[in-house]
Amino acid sequence: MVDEELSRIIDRARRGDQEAFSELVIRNKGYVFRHAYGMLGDRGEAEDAAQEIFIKAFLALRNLDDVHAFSSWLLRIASNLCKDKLKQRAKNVKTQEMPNETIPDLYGVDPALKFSIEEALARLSVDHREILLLHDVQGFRYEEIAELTGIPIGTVKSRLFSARMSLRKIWNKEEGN
Amino acid sequence: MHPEDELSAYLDGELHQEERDRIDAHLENCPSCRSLLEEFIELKGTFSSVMFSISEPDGFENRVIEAVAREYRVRNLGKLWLFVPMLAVMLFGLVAVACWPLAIQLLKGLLVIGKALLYTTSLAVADMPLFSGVAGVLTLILLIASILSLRRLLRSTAR
Ligand SMILES: [Zn+2]
Repeated sequence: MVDEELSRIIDRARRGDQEAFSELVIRNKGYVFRHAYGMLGDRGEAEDAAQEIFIKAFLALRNLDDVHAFSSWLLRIASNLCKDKLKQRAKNVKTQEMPNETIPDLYGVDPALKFSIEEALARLSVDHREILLLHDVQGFRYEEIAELTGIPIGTVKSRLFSARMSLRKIWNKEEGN
Repeated sequence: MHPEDELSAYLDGELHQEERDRIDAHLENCPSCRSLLEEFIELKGTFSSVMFSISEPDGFENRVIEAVAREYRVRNLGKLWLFVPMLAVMLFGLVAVACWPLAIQLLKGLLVIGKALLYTTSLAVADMPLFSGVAGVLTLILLIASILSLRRLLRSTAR
């Protein structure tokens, strides 16, 4: 995944080359947006978050020790920022005292499988969502996820298993409806 | 004993060879674990394909690049403020060097005027009659003024 060209681009971006950083945005926008969308479940919020993630990455690029670890470094920034946003959202919901429990709006959405899996994703815990996105969508290995999230590799394994079990349970229930 | 919790790692290819062999042997004789594995495979496939079908909004990259450029400018402007005092000092030095001949001209001019002034005063002093006349008039004015003020003072205390 990391080729010579990419490490050269990263190197240039680290020295403040904006054009090189733009290249990094183009190459990684899909991963970052998808991760933010998967974590937050809202396109508008995901776009704002993705923008913040890239700005943060640009400013912190000097601190990147290993050029070859760029994608996991970027995803760590993405994951942490999304989790902060979710914490903030939970705080806001608490203070606003929502009258009805967040009922998903089923209208206007194609009742295809796509919707039901996104819905299911929204009902997973944040940790389960994060690990499923990192593994099944971003394609990281267990070892990389352990390093990225700072949890032991055994926990990665068991958490991914329980995430899949919960997703299966939610999904099967929805399909039964 | 169903090794269900190992099936997820088995599917991801994250098990050691001997663990793999053990699961393989179990799967051969266990329809329940086989069906769970099938479900996991389907779930993983569906989940990743749905997520991969999601793409960023139109113009997203331009907005990000623009935002980063804005941030970059703000940062650089911040750095610029450090240079302003340095720049001012440098500019002052430059002006001083550039204007040095002018300053010398100015000083020379002042010297000429000063010389001329000195010359005229010395002439005036030398021209004694005029000088003493002026001095005499001034002394007279001073004397009259003091007498007048003394009289006013005496009158006010008498009352
Ligand atoms: Zn079994």
